[in-house]
Amino acid sequence: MRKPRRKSRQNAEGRRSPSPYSLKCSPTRETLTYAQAQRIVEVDIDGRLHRISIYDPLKIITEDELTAQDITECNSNKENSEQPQFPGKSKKPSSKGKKKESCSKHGSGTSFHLPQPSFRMVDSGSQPEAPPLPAAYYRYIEKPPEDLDAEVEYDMDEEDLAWLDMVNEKRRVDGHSVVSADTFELLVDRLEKESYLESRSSGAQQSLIDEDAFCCVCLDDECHNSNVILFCDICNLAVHQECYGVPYIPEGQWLCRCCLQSPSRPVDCVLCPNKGGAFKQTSDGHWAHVVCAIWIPEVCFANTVFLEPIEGIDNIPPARWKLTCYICKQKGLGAAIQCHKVNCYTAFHVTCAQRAGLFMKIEPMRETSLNGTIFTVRKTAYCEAHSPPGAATTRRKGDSPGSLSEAGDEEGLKEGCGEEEEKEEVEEEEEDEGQGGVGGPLKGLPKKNKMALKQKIKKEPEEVSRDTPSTVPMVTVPQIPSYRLNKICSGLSFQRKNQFIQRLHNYWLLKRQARNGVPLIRRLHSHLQSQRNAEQREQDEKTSAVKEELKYWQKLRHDLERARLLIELIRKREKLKREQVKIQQAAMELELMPFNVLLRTTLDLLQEKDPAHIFAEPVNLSEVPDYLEFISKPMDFSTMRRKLESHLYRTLEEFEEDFNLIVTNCMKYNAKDTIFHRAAVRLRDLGGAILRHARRQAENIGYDPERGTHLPESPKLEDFYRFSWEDVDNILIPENRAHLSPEVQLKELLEKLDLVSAMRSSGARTRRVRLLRREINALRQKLAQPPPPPQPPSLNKTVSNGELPAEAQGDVTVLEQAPQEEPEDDGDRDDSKLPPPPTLEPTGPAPSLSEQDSPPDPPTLKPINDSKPPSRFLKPRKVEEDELLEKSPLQIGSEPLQRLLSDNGINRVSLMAPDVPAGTPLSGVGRRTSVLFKKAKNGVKLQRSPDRALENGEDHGAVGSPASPASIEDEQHSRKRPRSRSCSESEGERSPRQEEETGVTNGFGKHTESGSDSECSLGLSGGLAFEACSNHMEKNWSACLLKNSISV
Amino acid sequence: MATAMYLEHYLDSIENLPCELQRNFQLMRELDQRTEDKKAEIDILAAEYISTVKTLSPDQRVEHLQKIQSAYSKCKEYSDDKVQLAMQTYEMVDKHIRRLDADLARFEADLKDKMEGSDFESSGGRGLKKGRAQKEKRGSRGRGRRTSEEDTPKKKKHKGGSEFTDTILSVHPSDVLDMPVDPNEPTYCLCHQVSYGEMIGCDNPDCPIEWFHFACVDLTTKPKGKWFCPRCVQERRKKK
Repeated sequence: MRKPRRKSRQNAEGRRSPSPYSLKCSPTRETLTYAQAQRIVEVDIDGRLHRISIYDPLKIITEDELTAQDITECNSNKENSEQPQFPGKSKKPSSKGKKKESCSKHGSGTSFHLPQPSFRMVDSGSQPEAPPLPAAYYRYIEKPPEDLDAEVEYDMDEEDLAWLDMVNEKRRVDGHSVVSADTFELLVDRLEKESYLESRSSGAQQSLIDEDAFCCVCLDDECHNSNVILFCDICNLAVHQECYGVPYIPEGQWLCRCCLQSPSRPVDCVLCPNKGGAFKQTSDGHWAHVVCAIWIPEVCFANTVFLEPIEGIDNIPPARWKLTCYICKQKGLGAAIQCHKVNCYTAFHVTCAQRAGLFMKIEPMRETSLNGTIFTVRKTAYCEAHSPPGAATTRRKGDSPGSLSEAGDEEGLKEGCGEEEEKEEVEEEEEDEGQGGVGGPLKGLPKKNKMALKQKIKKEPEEVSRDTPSTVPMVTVPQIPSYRLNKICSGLSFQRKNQFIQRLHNYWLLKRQARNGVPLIRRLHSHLQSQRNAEQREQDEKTSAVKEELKYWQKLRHDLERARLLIELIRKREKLKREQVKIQQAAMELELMPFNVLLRTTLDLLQEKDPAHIFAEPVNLSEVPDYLEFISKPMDFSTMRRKLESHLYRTLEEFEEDFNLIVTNCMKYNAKDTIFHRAAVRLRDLGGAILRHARRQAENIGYDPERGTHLPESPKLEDFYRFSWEDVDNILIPENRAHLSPEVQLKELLEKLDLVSAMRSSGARTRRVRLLRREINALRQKLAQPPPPPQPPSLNKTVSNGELPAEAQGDVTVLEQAPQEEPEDDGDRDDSKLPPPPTLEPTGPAPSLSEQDSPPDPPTLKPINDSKPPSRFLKPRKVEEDELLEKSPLQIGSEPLQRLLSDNGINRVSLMAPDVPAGTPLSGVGRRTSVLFKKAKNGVKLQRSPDRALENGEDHGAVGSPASPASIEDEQHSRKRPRSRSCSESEGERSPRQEEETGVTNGFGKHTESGSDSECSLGLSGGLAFEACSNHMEKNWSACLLKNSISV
Repeated sequence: MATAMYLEHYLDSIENLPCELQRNFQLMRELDQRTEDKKAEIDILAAEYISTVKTLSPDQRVEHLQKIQSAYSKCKEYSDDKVQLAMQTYEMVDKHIRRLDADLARFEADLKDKMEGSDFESSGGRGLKKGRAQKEKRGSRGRGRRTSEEDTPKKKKHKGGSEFTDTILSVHPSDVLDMPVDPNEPTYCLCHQVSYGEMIGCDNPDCPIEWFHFACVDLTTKPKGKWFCPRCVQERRKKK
């Protein structure tokens, strides 16, 4: 007897059976013989099937005994909980010890009484401990094949029995002993095994073992006693009983319809292009897949129990035939269904969809309407793009190649989609069948077999082997050589053994042939089957397998590509994030300490102007040990940076001061014609522009000096950026500025020039720049017109009277001389006529003057005295210093000069501020440094430079001794304004005794200064060679000052 | 199949890839979180600074700012780590892809050998469509790019071989290359297109674009030595 193979897997508890008809509580059909089954009544109560022996007594139970639990159970039963048809009668199938109580429902007329519990106390009798139960009552241990080989696995069937009877009859007639059934079984078993060995040794390789086989209709591998998976004995097709319409498992072999009815040639499905799978015949003699028939709405089964024949193919509208499956892309082959998403028209063949693992779900629905309960099947299938989320999650492990890539595909496609579902109604017979007690054990099953076709179709690609049609195997029964036959029966001894063996062998051969060569022992069959399959479809399989495999690998490649893409994107993102962090940091820095940022950039720019790194580091004292003797306050860029980073600069002025300190220190210590001096001058010139720019920026941005942050609101933007050509044009017309003093005019013009040259270059700009320059020059010339010689004395006199305005005029005088030089600069330089050296002074300082004097003020036209606030600031201190220094009476006389000088200095300082940091101060300093530098150079302290000997004559003494302490003191005094300090210091140095000489020295100071100034202006005006110029101006300037001093 | 043994091995080798990817992404995520935390911290510090800056001495200011700076440097560190991690991950996947390509090539060759001579009915090969070739990126650290896969089957076709093999192989480009253009695919080159054909990488590590189509930069063959994209060339000139 051949039993259907059954899944050995246990049903997990709580897991729903794949079929709504699972019968859990009753004796299963399999355990019943046919005879038994005939004596069984199947009853469906509360949606559960019960098989009750007709001999079993039925108890009557009142509905009082119906527990609440039962009621809920009743109500919650989802599937086919039809009402029992036998009111008042309840049964208790006691034969199987079932605890199932069935309910009976009475009419509503009877009144209900709650059952009264009755109990009695039992005197304490503790129940004995039950012995621990073993973990498993039964365990199936599969024997190794060797053991199995030794055992007799064959079971006789009726045929065999009949044959054996016949043979024995004959033997008895012949007077031989009877061959027992055991012997028969043993021999057949040996024959089977021998033939198996034979076929195996003939070189076929092992292949697929379908332990995890699944029904190819519902793609589920669930296996219940009531709904087992059947395997076709020929093509090894696996189907659920209910999916294929096999309500009762036949004894012996079972063949699928196509092996049974069309064994010799493969069948093709009329509804789809795919081969292989579970076929059924259509009413017109064609074949079609069961799944196709289930899913295509127009098609149905004539008999819903046996699921055959397939009907309604003709009803399929032509449109359906024309759909193109998006999976196989084959046109005009079969009928396709469409995605159930509302607006999605994607079409696919049912079998293609199955193979592609699309979401396909069939769920039974129950609708209660007036005319009874209607059973509905809801079938939903979605194309890949609309698979509901989570559909891909249930996936078995160890699946065949292809699933991985599919999983990859689906991952990207999960998106929610509406529950738009197509309903197909299947009218079902009202449930009265089960009650009739008509049928045997079959009766329970026939209902709604259609619905039994799986709720859910898992995405599981079919095995490759099933993809190809199962052609009918050739009936080949391996011949067993006679020597082997002899060996087989050597262990046995009965009469006429050989003859019997021959006959048995023949019988066995016939039997095998009758069964299409399928081995009689199931176990061997499965092996053989696969092996045969492998042989048969080798070619076919190879191509398809190779194709599959290649596709699989390509999909994998594709997936990897996508992964790489993803990571590439991530990489880019992270890079951007990194940039973002950097930018954020910069932004934060700007927010927290914008002032510092400004200073830092300024400092960077300044340092750029020092390509030789002369000022980068502090002066190395071991190289110049006497440095500190002359320089009280060394300064360098690195120190500045340090100060900057430690937030010691609160205002731009402090910063500027330090910068000027660098320059002045250098100029003080080094003689004028050394490279250091020149570098300092150069730095001063270039740095001035930078600082000026920084100042402008700072003013425009607006900083809070207390906090180093931005002001809460930005200051009113100055005209600097609100600038129009009209302004410039206006000022270019002399009449418009006629009311202003020439000086202010000059200032205005210079400012405009500054502005205009900062503009983007254009025709308008260059033209105006030229015009401005011309105006400026003209103005300067005009200013220079009044002869300088007469003025200084008078000026000085007024100054000596202590009148401040005079100072202003003194300023003017100094400035007056400027324009004269300008033309010279532009014109012939060698002209040694008399142009006063400081010509350049104004050009440089003038713009700065405008800036410094009136930083926030727009360049409105102002009265003259407005231009001097800085000097006013400085005044008190200077006066102090002056007083301090001028204890000696002689000094009084020199005071005016000093005043003048200091004022000049101050003015110049203030005027030149950023541009030419140290004007006058350098006069004193320059003198000394030149000497000192020589000193240091020659190593002889007091040695004078030969070329200056004459001029510096007396001066030297003053410089040598009294000056330096004073100067240091002074410097300590006035940290704030090094320039003014140094200026006054230089004055201080000039002792009254040397009054006469001061003029000279001053002259020299001036000359150096003017030299530097000229350098500066030159640098500004175009970087002309300053050497010649300075030499040349030296004389003029000194001469001029000499006059001044003399007049004093 | 025996031919696919190495492919099976490949499967084994790739088994860990998802885990590793996940781990790396997890790590990145963590780093990201930490960065965010730091940023929040910075924001607090900055607010604190701004509110109290008036009363702080320069030293205190410096100290406070230092704190912010250090937080930022931490942030940068994390960012660097993340970039590093991403690069590493990329390399990993890329390595796998290259190996797979090599294996596939072998597989195809094997297949060809096998199918040689045997006659199979071919289901009519789908036409070889020209598609985007997968670029071989980063593979050889820079410009070394293999010719695209697209050529492989073509060549084979010219060489001959059984029709069957061609049928199978022709599936390859059309299947892989017909894949829709991912809208998220990064764009490269001056033309801001996705990558296709032969690409060249700029040798400036900070190049914002990184990869260029040969045609877009007027190249037909791989140049020798270092190559810089037009932009980077400009930048470099400016610097000099």
